[in-house]
Amino acid sequence: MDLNCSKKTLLAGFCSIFLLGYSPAMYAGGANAPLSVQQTKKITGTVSDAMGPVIGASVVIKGTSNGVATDFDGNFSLNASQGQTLVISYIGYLTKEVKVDGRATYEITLEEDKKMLDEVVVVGYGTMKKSDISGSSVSLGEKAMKGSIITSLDQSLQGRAAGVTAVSTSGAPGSASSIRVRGQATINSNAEPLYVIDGVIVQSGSTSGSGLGFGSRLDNGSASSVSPLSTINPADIVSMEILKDASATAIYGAQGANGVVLITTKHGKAGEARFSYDGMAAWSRQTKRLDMMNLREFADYYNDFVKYGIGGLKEDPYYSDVSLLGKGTNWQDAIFQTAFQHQHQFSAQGGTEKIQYYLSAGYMNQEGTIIGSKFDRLSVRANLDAQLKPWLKIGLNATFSNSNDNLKLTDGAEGIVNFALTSIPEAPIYDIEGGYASFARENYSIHNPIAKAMEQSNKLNRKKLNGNIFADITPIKNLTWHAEIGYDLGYSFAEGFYNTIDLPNWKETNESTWQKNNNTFWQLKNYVTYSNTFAGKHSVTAMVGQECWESKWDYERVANSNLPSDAVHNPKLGQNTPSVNMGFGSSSMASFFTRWTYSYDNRYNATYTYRYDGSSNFGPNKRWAGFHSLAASWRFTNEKFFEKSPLSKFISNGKIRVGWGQTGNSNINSYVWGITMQQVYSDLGIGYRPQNVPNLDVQWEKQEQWDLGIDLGFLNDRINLTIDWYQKESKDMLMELQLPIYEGTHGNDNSKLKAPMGNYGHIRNSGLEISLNTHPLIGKFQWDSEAQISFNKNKLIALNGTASAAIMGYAQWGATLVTLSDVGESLYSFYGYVTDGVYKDLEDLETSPKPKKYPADGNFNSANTVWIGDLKFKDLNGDGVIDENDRTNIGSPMPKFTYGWTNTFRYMNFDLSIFINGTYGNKVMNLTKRGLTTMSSAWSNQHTDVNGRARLEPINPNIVYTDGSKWYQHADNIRVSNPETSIPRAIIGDPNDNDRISDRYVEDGSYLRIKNISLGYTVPKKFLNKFGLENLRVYCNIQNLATITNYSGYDPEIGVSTMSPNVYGVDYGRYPSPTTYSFGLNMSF
Amino acid sequence: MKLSNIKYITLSVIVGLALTSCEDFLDRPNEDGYNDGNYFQNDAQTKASTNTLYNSPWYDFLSRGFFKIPEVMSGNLYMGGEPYMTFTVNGTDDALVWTSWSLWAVNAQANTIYNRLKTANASDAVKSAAMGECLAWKAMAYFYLVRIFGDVPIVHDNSSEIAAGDYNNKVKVNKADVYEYIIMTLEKAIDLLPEKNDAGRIDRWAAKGLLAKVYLTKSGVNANGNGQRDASDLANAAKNAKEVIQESGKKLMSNYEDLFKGENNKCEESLFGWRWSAEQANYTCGNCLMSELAMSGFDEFQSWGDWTAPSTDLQDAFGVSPLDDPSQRSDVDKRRKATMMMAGDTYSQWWQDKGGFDYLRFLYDKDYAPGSNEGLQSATGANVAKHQYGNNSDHQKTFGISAAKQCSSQATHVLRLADVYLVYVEAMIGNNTSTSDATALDAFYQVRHRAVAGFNMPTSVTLDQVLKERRLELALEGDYWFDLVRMSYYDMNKAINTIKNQRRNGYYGLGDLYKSYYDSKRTTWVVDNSKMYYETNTPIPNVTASVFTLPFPDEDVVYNPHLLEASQHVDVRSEFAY
Repeated sequence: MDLNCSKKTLLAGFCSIFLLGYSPAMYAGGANAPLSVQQTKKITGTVSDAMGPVIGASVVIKGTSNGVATDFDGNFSLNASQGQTLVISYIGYLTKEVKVDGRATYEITLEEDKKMLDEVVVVGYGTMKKSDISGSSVSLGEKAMKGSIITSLDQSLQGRAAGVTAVSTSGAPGSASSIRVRGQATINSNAEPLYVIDGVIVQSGSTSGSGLGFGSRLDNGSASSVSPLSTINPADIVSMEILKDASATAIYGAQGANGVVLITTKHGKAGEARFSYDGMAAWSRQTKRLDMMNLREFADYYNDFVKYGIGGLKEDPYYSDVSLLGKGTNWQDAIFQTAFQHQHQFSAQGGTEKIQYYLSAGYMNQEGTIIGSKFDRLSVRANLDAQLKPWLKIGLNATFSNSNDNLKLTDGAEGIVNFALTSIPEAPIYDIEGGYASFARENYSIHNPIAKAMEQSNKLNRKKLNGNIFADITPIKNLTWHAEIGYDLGYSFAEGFYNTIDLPNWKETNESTWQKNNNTFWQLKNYVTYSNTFAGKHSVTAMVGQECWESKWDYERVANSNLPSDAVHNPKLGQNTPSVNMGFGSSSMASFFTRWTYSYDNRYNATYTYRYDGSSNFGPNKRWAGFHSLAASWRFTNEKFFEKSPLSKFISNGKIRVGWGQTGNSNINSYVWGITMQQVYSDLGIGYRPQNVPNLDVQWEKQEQWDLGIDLGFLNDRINLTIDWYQKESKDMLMELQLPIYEGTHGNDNSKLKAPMGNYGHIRNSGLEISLNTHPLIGKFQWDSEAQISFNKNKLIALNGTASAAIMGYAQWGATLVTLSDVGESLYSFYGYVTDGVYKDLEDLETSPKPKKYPADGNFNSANTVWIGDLKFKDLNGDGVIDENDRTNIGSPMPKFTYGWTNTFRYMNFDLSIFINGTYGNKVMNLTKRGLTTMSSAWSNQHTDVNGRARLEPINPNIVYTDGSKWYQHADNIRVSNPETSIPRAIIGDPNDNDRISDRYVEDGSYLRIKNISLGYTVPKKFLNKFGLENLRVYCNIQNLATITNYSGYDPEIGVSTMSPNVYGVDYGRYPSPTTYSFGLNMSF
Repeated sequence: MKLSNIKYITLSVIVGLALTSCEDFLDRPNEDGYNDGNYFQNDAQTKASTNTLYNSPWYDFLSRGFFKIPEVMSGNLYMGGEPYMTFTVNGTDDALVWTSWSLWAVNAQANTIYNRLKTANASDAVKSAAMGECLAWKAMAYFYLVRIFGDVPIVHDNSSEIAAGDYNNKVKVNKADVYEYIIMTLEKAIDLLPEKNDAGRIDRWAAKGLLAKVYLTKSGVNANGNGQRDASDLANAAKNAKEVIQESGKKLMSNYEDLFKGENNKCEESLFGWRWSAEQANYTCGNCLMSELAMSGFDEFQSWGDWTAPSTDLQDAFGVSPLDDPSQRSDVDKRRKATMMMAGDTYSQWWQDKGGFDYLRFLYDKDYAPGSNEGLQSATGANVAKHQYGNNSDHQKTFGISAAKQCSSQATHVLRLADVYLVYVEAMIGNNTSTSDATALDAFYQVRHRAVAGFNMPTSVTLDQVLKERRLELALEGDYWFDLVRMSYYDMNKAINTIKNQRRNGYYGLGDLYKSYYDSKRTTWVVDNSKMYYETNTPIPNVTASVFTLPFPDEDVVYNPHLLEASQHVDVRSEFAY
């Protein structure tokens, strides 16, 4: 009773606090009545900030209209009664509340609101006051990254910034996220934004499995789960600036078309050395299982094949008495594990007025939730700044990291997930001696999926050294020359080792493959900035600069097999013929750029940028291109007329922005304009073949973008609203020409003639972004809320200049067409047939449109013609025949909108943050399910959904056929007993192609996910002092706690495919994102 | 002030340098290999430029379509659950799509290299031979295309078609015209090719042999499934075949089985052959048939051919049965064992390091064959022997290089001299039922006598005899289906009935039969008819005229809806020229 009672009180308390925050006026109104009878007295005070008195600050008694403004000396006086609250506010400062007590005078110090307008932000080749920016960009602070468990900084972008879509490619540890800024603007393999860390362009290097040296062992798409950004320690980052519109990215010219992410790392501050330690331990697991058949169910399923004479299957004595069987092996439980991870970061920072330092070392180690997958990273960073002379400042940023991935092939038909799901439950994992079991029956054997996962290792070691050295020279006042040399040296070592497999029905020699990649990148840049304010109101900044960079790469690959043992992984030990391969190449770019900004009286701002780029990726005819951009903004709240208007009390900040700009894309392989002769081996000797169709005129992809935006701050910026509308057009999109097979441009890379690369596409993205940041509660109980929602519409406007052109995307190994990007439609739309139930009986078959396997001679045959219980597809063009022309767009993987909402609560020393994100309106093609419901083999485990398949029954069970045949061989005596089903009959060989790509596999991929909940407690200083600690915060965090979705697979978050380019949103055994529980602490001393 | 002067000078120097050196800085053709501009500079380079046509672009065909289309559909090979068994292949079928990729890639590369060779910096003889090889392979690719897909578009010059942008408007051309196009391509190839080329390369006789086979196939194309074959085509087939037989100087290899041994990769009987290499640098240059057709554990690399079994019907054709006691099997045809392994078979050329290969021991002795599946997997009691090289040690011994995953140096014969011999016989029979032409009888005798020692010179040969001989001689070499396609041109009913009368299913109980025989130390062979019998549950597939043409891959139909329209007549000789 007592307990209940106190619970209720607590609840009531919470509720009232909540209400108090939400509608202070109501609460105050109620409380005011009795107070008004109290005695009021005159109180006086001074409002000041760090610099001195604040003039014109408003001092109001909370809940009343009773208030005054401070005078020239910051003084105020008014009548108030004890217990009332003074609210002191001023633009640019955090609002402060003070309780009226017994005192007669009050000294009030306002703190500047750091989030406010005069914040300086990084804009690329310089910084700008946030208030002067006319382009569209989003900032992400340290907090956003700290709030969640991230191993790679791209993961932190999810749901945090309007207009930025981040989808993780895989749930593997340290895996990549694909980031799209304002929609998919190119079908080029690299649609990721440009990342710039402290001014140095991050070299993503090769991210495909084959580029790294794993061949097709990580699948053969142009993307893999390996993240180029996972080599960077997110703990060293202080802020990220995402440049979205062309006027912001245009300064990056040719490299800015996919958006730019500017990353600033931590720098030291003058003062005593300050040490900190951040540590975290976490456990992850997969919470969802697909409902697969267990052994008994599978035996029933098998026996059904035998009963109806399907595929000539024999009765299997093992399955004869189902009641004797157990549940068999649960292969899903076998491949998923609870995974442990931990992270540690030490840092030291400090310095003098002239020299500051920041040093850090971090280590993380993460296991994957699929057995055998792992990631670890060791990183160190040193950032130094030194003001050597009044006119000379130099600095150095350097980071080194060493990371190790242990990768598994999870996606695709040959991936662990699919293997585990389709392995029949009868097969055991281990034999009696504890070794891997292998399994064979007549006509069937499986390769143990656990052995497949554990005996094949793909290890990737990456080392990366990057950073820069710069000098800022100020020869005369207002003029700064910034000179900088940046570098990025990358090394990767991919070691593939297949252990000797020596199982009864599966024997393989071991195999060792090494590939070492080296990348050397340097950039040199110089820019001069002049900045001045004339006549107090005309503020001008002009910048002119130059940049050039060169990127060189080389690789060497050695492979051999049949090593004497698995103990030492060195291809040299192999006893077969070694294969050796090597290559090298380079690319370069030279650029000149300028930016002019003008600001009048903090009201009118304008920016013009121009960049002229030359890239070695283009032929001599089209090597150079120029990119312009213009943007303007108007801060109407600074206008006199507005300040006088009553709205000014309500709207504290308002800015309207308009921008237009051009950016480019040169992200293609070098020398596609000429013909490369590829080396080929043959029994006739080594030969060389022309590899591609050349295109001398391949040139810059140019993108144009319009942006209209408004920034509004209400109630002294307690509410901030930003709305942006944009339209961006990628004309001359760089892509491979899409050609029909008969032009010979399809197939294995080593077999086909490569289609020419050129400027063949035109894509338009338009959208709306809304961010709403509010501080509903300030004071002791604080509540911050940040919400954002992004709408994007994507349309392929033209292709190849021909009518029937389209971009095709395949499921895997290039044969199953799943997506078709057709002119006039959104990119990557799923393409296939529309289902219309099942054929119920012979009459239904005969009266419906004719499928391809309809027998011309009318002789229906259950094994090789369409049959009762097969899927009926819609005859969309109404020609009476169901053929290729009846395929259509069956859904788009592109969401209608994506959203994120972060709520942070702080009370006393507790902080609680809840982050929700999601997508709406996108479809997922569930190819995993396709394999699990195909029912075309008796040797592949199936989803229990197939229990609802079309079941056949005799119309007249009493007919006795004189030739001894059975009713199920006579189409005229069969009907479906469950005609409402949408799942076809089971039939080996699937003559009607029931599992063709159709809307049967398209599911709603919308989801709402509680992405992150974190609860922290900051230990009060008074306890810490005893231990010499300055700060100590402990926290716990749950990531991916729950996902609300209709999607039937493991995880609706499906993005780019590792299996195939031109495909998006296809789930074929994707590594699902786990739920992670973590505990950690931040400590400084 | 002085200091800042220095700064200005430095600045301007840097900017100036950057400006002046830009063009050099940005000019970067490919660095680690040759390009079109610096290759084709001498005879050796020019000659090597056609090597790729002998393997890599064919790989996607070899890896599936090469045996699924001609062998599984024709009833020579049993693959449970395959749509090729039941004639239910769709336009999305992997093997079909890959076949299409591959054959069109051969055409594209042959066209591209052919055009580039025109301006190669090499002697006329070398240039001409290389250009001839391009056209001969192009003709071979089209020959496969027209026999698999029927009416197909003609892609004469890829680069110019792509540049012109009308590649999505192409129409299908009547197959009769496609055959004419192949013939005109081969005529030019014969002009260009030398009488004698390097071992393993195509020469004039090879092209003539192919021309004979093309004429023979074309002869029925206008008969609409029921009629007479064209006399002049038949005469041309006979004429070209006879020239090859009598004038090329090439002879059949004396022992049939030796044809498929690696040391005879480039034997003179192999007129057209895919010259694979186990070099791993680009794996499509290697032969992957072993991994597709060999039983798991046959060599050290992965293979999964346990269930891809020579069919009951093919065994019938050879006059053998898996129920025969191996010690008493009447195995008169040497080709049977070279084509498929059955209970009791041993092969001395394989597993030489283990004293030779023994099929039953492989199935049941784990010490001997630790990588094998347990017991018999094949539903027909036989496994594929052709296209196998043995284990890795055999491969190394033969080719001096180890095989690798899905990669060996074993050549694949695409057109053999023996094939041309039988083409001659069939052409001489023509619209009759038999021939007694002396050259034809001798050709038939040479082929059959090589395999069946007791076979004597016949006095006449019937069409059915030749067709059966072709099936046995070329079994599993990717040919028999095309004999049926050729037949369907002029006698559709016979082609349909041939398939309908096949025994395409497997057996029950052979595993027990083999095992008890092996366990009894090969002394007791007991066939229990109630448990060991030919399976008749699986219905005979429904065969119609449409099965003789496979559908175009779905994706092409998307790009080019004309492919669903009726084909057109094109006067290829006036439209195209070499």
